[in-house]
Amino acid sequence: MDPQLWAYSLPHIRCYLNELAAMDHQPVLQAHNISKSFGHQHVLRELNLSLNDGECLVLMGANGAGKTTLTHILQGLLPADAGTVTIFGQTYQRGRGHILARIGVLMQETSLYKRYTVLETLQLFASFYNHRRPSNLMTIITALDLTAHQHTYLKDLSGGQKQKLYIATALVHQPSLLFLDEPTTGLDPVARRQIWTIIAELRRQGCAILLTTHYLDEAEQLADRLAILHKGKLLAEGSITSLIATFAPEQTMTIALNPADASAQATLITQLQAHPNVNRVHQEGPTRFKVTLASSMELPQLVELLSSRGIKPHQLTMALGSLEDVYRSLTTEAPD
Amino acid sequence: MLRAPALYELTRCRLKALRREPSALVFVFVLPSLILGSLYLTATCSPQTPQPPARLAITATDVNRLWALASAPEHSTITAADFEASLGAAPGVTLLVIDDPATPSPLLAKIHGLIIVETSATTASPPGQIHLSYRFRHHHEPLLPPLDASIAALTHTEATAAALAFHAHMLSIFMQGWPQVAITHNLPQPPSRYQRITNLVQTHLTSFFVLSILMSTLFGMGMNLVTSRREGVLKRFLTTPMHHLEYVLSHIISRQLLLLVEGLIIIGLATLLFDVHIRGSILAFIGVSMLGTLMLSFMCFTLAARTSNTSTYSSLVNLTVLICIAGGGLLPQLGAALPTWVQALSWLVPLEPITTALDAIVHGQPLSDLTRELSFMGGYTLLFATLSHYLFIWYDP
Repeated sequence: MDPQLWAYSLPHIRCYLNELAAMDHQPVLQAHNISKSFGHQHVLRELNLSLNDGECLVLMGANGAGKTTLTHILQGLLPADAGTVTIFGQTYQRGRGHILARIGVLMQETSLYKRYTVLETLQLFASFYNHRRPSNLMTIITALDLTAHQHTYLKDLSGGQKQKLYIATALVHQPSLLFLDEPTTGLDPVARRQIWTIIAELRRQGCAILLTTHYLDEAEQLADRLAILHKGKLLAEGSITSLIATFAPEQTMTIALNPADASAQATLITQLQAHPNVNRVHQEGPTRFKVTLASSMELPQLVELLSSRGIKPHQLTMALGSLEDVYRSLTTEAPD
Repeated sequence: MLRAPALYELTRCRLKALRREPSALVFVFVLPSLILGSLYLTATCSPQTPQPPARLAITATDVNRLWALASAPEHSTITAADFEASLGAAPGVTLLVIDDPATPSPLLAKIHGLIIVETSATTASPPGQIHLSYRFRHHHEPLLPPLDASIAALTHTEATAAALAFHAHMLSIFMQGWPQVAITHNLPQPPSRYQRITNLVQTHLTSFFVLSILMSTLFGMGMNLVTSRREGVLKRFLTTPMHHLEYVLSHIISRQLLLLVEGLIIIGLATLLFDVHIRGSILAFIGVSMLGTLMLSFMCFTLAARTSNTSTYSSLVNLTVLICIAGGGLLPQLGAALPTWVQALSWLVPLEPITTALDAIVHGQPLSDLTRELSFMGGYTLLFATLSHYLFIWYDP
């Protein structure tokens, strides 16, 4: 039996048993038709989302897309105007204490007590969950590489160390669901990589993670599934591969010309537009062209195409559709 | 459901935050100590203004003149000017007219407004001596130390007029330096600087104490609340199973513990340096202080309920303190000087019952006499607790 069970009161035990019964069939988190407005401004519109056990769902969107509002609703900080949020088979209305005891949260732009040490901060948070065993805390401190700073005040920590501490506060009770709101914003590349490693390890241990970020590379690194939010609407959701296949299937070819014969070559390249396998030709600079293909072609076919047209590229780069293409195509083409 | 570990850690957090915040330490502990210490240094270390030696400038002739003046039908009262004229100019002298309290003389009645003198003759004096005790009271002074005189081989006359003459005679002998007469005395002196400052501390001790609690609660606790909300600490706490009441109680408990330390410093220093004593029950004093602090804590939660930044909160607190002072809530002496209609409204100032109750306990009143003050404090506590419950926001969405 889970030792945490003994810490719960009778209503919690009932909730816990309900959850066990429900978890066989339900996702860890399920948001159904969530809508939220502030005044006349619609921030979220009939949004549906789900997250399974041990899965990392990355939520992306521009500033003001509604990511923070959505995570606040999912964390129980804000009520939704419409729709339901179910976490571990419970709603916040009926099982708030139970849900909060099982989720971990890293918030964007939050701070904690500046004159509290790393260890004291973790002790404080552990006390909220009735988890006060020092060995557990030391395990987390060691795992997050904060051992040398355990007696350092928060105000004296670097940005990366602070972020690790904030993550540690979300982990003191071994949560089953983790909300990470822009966990690497403002960090240097080394600190970002460290945080990624920590998140990957948590996912490997079976923790469900909902992560919001602006960084495409972070999403590519961590996401099992990606959800793109734009102006309160969920535009797309799925694995990165499936999203690319759906929203950015085109292959692009970037041709750099030798400046000496660029003008003559440019005319030839422009004429490629007429080829049935070429969607469009875009001049990015005096000697640089981007050719978008209608369907993917192997490199020998491409070289043959160019040579048959008399085009002699100085440099040739091939690229498949990327997450950036997906994001850009979705967010620029989406209606308001 | 409240959990002891969370409550303990949150309270510990509050106390540690205070201990590690130098400005808070200065504000709560050092400043009151400095004020009392400075007062003590002012009272004791500055050079005392030399008092002019008292001179007794009464003669039998003067007394006779005075008696005649008092007996004259055209004078219904003797004014200070009359008295001065009768006695002759004697700068620095607090002078006397003597009477036997058993048989008050018309003269005493006439000059009651100026100087009251009581004399008594004790029959238990050693053989051959009559021991006279003089008690002087000036109408401006509450009580001056007694003047004692031991006079050998003189006869005491009980008749009032004769007594006047006798004392005048005795004093004239003294003035001539008659060696057989020895007067051991504490002539009425103006209070020393130390006495004046002690009186000041005694009078305003509770106001000072309440002001100290008020400022440390409103600033220490309120600033923490506002900053915690602004920086998202409270929002972060909301995503944990921490109960709201645990957080509120941690603030209240830490504030009560700090109150004990503050009280120990202020009352302890006042006792040590100025010999000020709480005449009533110490436990009652502590209990009322704790109830007052509870009330101020909820007042603080109410003031900080919606404030989004520390500047706004500071302004709000300064306004509150100003209202408390102007309304006589902190200084009952000031309250007594206010117009009647303002005095009637001063009960609305939440600090008034705390100051009044503590002041009453310092002056020896039992707790049972303070029902009204305690009721007001309890009422205000409930009011502010209710207001803060409904108004307080944990984060600004």
